[in-house]
Amino acid sequence: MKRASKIFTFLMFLFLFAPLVILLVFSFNEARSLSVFSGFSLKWYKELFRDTETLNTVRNTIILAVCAAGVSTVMGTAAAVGIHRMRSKYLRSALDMVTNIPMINPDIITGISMMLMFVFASRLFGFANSLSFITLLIAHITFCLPYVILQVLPRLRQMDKSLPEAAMDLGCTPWGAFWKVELPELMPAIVTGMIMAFTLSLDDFVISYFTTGTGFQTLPIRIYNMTKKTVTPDMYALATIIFFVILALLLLSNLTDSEDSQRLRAARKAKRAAKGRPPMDPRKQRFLYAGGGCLALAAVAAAVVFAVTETDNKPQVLNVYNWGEYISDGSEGSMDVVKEFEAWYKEEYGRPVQVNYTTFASNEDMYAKLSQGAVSYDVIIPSDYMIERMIGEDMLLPLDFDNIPNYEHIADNFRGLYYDPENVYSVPYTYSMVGVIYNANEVDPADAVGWDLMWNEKYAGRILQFNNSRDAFGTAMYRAGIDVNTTDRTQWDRALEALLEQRRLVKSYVMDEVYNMMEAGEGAVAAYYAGDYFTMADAQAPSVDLRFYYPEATNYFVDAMCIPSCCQNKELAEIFINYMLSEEPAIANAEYTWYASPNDLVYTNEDYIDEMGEDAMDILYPDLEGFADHYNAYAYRNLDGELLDYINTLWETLKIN
Amino acid sequence: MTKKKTRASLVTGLAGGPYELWAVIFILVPLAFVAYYAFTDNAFHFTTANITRFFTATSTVTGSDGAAGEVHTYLVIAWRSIKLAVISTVVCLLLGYPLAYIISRASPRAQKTMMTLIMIPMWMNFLIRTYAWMTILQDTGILNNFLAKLGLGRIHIIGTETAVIIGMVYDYLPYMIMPLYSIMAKMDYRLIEAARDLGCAPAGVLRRVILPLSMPGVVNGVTMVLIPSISTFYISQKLGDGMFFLLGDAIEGQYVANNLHFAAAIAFILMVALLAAMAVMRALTDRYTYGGKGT
Amino acid sequence: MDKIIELKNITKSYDGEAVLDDISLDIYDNEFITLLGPSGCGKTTTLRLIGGFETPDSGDILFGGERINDVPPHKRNVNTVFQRYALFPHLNVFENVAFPLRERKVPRDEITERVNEMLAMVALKGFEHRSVTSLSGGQQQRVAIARALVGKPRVLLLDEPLAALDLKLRKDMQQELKNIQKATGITFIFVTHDQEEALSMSDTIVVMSEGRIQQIGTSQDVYNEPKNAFVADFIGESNIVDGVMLRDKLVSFSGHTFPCVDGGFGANEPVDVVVRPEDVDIVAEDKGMLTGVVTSVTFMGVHYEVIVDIGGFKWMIQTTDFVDVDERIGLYIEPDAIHIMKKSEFSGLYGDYASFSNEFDELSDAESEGEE
Repeated sequence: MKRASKIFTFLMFLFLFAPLVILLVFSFNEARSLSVFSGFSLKWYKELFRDTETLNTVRNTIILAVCAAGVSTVMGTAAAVGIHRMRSKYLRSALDMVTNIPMINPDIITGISMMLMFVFASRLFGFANSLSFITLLIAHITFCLPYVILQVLPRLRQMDKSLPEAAMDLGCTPWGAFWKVELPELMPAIVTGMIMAFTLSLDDFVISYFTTGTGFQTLPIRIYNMTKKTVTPDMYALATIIFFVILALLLLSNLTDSEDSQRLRAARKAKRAAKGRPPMDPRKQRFLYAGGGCLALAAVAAAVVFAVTETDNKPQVLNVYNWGEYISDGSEGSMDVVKEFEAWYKEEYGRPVQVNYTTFASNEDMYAKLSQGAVSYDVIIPSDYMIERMIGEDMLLPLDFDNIPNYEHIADNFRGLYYDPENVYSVPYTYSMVGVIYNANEVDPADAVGWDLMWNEKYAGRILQFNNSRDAFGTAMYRAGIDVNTTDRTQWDRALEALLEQRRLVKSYVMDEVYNMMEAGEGAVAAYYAGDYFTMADAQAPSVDLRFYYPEATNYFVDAMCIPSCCQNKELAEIFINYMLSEEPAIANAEYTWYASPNDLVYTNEDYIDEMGEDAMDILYPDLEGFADHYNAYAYRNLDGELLDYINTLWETLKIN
Repeated sequence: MTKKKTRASLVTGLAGGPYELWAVIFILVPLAFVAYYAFTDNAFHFTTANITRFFTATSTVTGSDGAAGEVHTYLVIAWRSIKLAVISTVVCLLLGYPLAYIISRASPRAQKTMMTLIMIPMWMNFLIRTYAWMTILQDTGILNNFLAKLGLGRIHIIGTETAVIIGMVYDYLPYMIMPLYSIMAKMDYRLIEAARDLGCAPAGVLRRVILPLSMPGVVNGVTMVLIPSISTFYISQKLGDGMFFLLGDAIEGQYVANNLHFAAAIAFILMVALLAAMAVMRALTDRYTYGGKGT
Repeated sequence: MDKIIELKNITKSYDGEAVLDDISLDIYDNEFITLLGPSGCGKTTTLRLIGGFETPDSGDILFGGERINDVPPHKRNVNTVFQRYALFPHLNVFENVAFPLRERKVPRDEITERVNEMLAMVALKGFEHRSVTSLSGGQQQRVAIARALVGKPRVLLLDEPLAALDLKLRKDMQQELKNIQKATGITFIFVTHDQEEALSMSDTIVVMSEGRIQQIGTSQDVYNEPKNAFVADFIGESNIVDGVMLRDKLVSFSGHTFPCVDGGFGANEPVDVVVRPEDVDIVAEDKGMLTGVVTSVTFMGVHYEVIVDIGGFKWMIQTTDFVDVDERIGLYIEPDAIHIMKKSEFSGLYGDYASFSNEFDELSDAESEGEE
């Protein structure tokens, strides 16, 4: 190689591996931050191995990839043989074209198209949850198939046509000739195809995002849904582990493949021969191959059966659908609420229960899945305005409060709120308010008043705005004194004006990215939720000093536990809701999420108050006097579809400016 | 003779049959659903409103000079997506082509190692990889700290088109290198020697021998990079500071807003446009490569 | 000798194009029979019909008297050595040869014994564990033969097995194949387009062209008594001229009347006259039966190849005497050097050396090797 090309190759590999190095380094970071390295620690690895939900999704992802790769390899190889032998030229080229479709269609279209079909099929045949492991598997097989076929087909075409003929000539049946001669010849292509299928399935996010359903979540979706607290370094730890596992596997396969080992094998054979033993009977070898193949197939079948029964057939299954990172999950020594519930239930009722805990990224995300009728959940935790909408659309069931005695601990302030005035459908889980977070090392405290800070020219290019329409418009409307629930489109137009004016000051439109950016000092001003401020302050860089305040008018939200009408086991759902209200889990959740709790078992608990500290309590639990009025005045309400569509177009206008 | 023929076609049928069925049910039917949703309203009555909306919806945009003007919202979005996707594809090609060539000429062992190395990043989740790029590119990120230490000053990358393009190039580069490499590895290098022998300068060899021979790989690579980069929505969200609203964002936004019919309409238009573009591209490259025949 | 294979009125066509047109052929036990013809003449198709890879459109194939039209290849007691050997690349030499035995579930010890025996016969002892892809062309060839013979078939089909070998190796293998055939007593059906190869190896030669059998006979028969212009031209070099059979043993061509040894034609019947180049003697101009001008002389080692223009028709003559270009010479032909054939569809197509050149011949040879 010439010098220039050596340098070029080096730079390219540097480029390809730079992010992996970052992952590796930050997986050992002591702090939660993904941008500020504060010290070496193994704690994220410990976290990872304790985090049953993440490990579950890892397991799911691998099961899915193995099944998808297995099925698509078998079917794809058969298909390639079929296409190769097809006599009709037209049929063959038509099939060739169809095979190419999933490859030249963007995955977002493949995802949407399959989702539309599954949803339609579920309505037609009345399946309660058409989107499940099976649909996900079908989708993955579909986009993996062409890769297998396009690996095997050229190999078939290249293969000496007389090979199978020679085998038949020497006494093989046509079927035997395929097994004993053609298949071994195709093996390298088949294996490559299978590895590609496995890789693609493992890494797929978009298609899974559209076709995933109840109770079966893959790792990419879990990561995507980590919107409440952003991606944590245990994900980096996971990536690092995957990296080393793969590296080890590759080294191993390289070793066994290398000339050395071939020589070794040859030597072993020679030894056998020298001892007067005949070389290993290939029938024995074939038997081994066949055994291996059967084993692989059996593993696939078992995985399928296992996964299906896991999600669908166990007598006691509770499907919980919640925001990402919105329940105490046992990380950093906290309580693993889901696990504890399972244990508690078994003790209390003498029967096992399995909680399938899956996450969503936003209210709308959850609504989209539920309203298509393609999923089945028992407990969901949406926000207030979404609850109002779902009640209006008959998507929620009235609760039987006899099963939820702990409801008595919910403070009066959280009863009779606008979204559920009769307290029939919901049990409040958390509440919080949007405030303004700023870096005191950069922002003059005198400027830190009201919403104007977000429009302050002095901090041009340092401001972070919400990357979702409702919250972003909200900041502009609170500032201008506009009702955030107005149906007057000119008011929304006014808000857009303000946002357009703000746009050139905005550094970034963010959701969970806000954590990293504020912690690292990438931005100086951001609007976000009170609880999240503490998470950020906890991981801030030495040069950053984050502060928080509430503007006079701001968004209050309440997230509440509800039972959707697709619920399969209402009583169990109510038991779960009641459990969530009991002291220990309620405190654990409040401590984990850093959001305020409406539960008096929590906010009056001395230990909890100590743990939070005075500052935090002040911010998280501002004076609750007259809360209901305040809340009813400023909280988001459900808007009708046409207005939402209008807001969506305004949002697109802002974005393309 | 009929007996044997039917047996052969039975075997063929058994092998290809399940796939044919699968292809129809899970490839063609879903696409029909996209078309069906694209041309119906919420009550599933026929309408072309969704399609019309894509081409006619306008919004007011203020230019950098402060002058406001009406633009077609989705056409602007589409244009931006295409622009970024095309730039990313070209960059992938410019980086991937020489690398694939270098790899294909290395020793068999080195070839294998390097191709493995190129595959490895694909095994890390792409969401995580994209997150890592945020860490590298942000204003106080690894790259800028490094540059600052060298006394070169900081550069602002994150949130710019450059950052989005870096993200796309990074994620899709392996898809460019793999088909290029597999073509180049099979290439008969005596052809190059022959061309040199016949008086071709190195540049001429590249243009008149290597490039035409590797054209199928280029077409495959370009397809495999262009398609995903035109419809991405995660990379633009994370590395574009939320400033870039692309077709993928538009579709996802409509899906989340439960506007399935309009989401399907955008998807349908994108699909038709891409199929047409692919057909044209293949026809052109076929002519260029073989003067009319082959793939 | 017993008939082992009979082909009866076989026709076969692909996409409406006739490849075999009413072929009938008897093949006897213990015979080395060669199907000879240019590419596209149907010889390989005939072989594939016998092997069971094709079925005839009409007609019957009998094996030991039984109709085997619908018997699949693996149930026929016939093995094939393929053109490019078709060795299984995933198996080593030993396993390639052992393949048919394992297929027949022969006991393991016997397999080892028979494979070793076969490998010894083809001089590949010690190569058992080598990968077949690491062998030279000649070695691969031997493995293919060993593999085809180890199952002790009644008939061995060989489809241009020597085409890919270089000249020296080809000669050696020809001899070796002949020896193997003699030693094993198996019927060999050999396909080639190389007439020299056919002549030197075969007991019987079947000359084919355009889907039809032109002549069946021993090497001497087809060389000395070609049935028509095609056979005469395809096998060896021939000067073929139009003549008229005046009466038995008297023929007229090139403006001269010659005594000959053939008879049985009608009076004054137009015929094709074949004179082999080596059978023409060069004499002084005034002593010749025919006279002509030398247009080219090529030194071939053993002899000179001389092209002589006789009344506008170019003759080829092989002689050890040197003549010069533009020299006028006389030609003398013995009566038994003149072979008379009936007129056929091939008349007038062959036998004139007007456009002859060695290179051209080689080129067309090389082309036909790649096909079929």
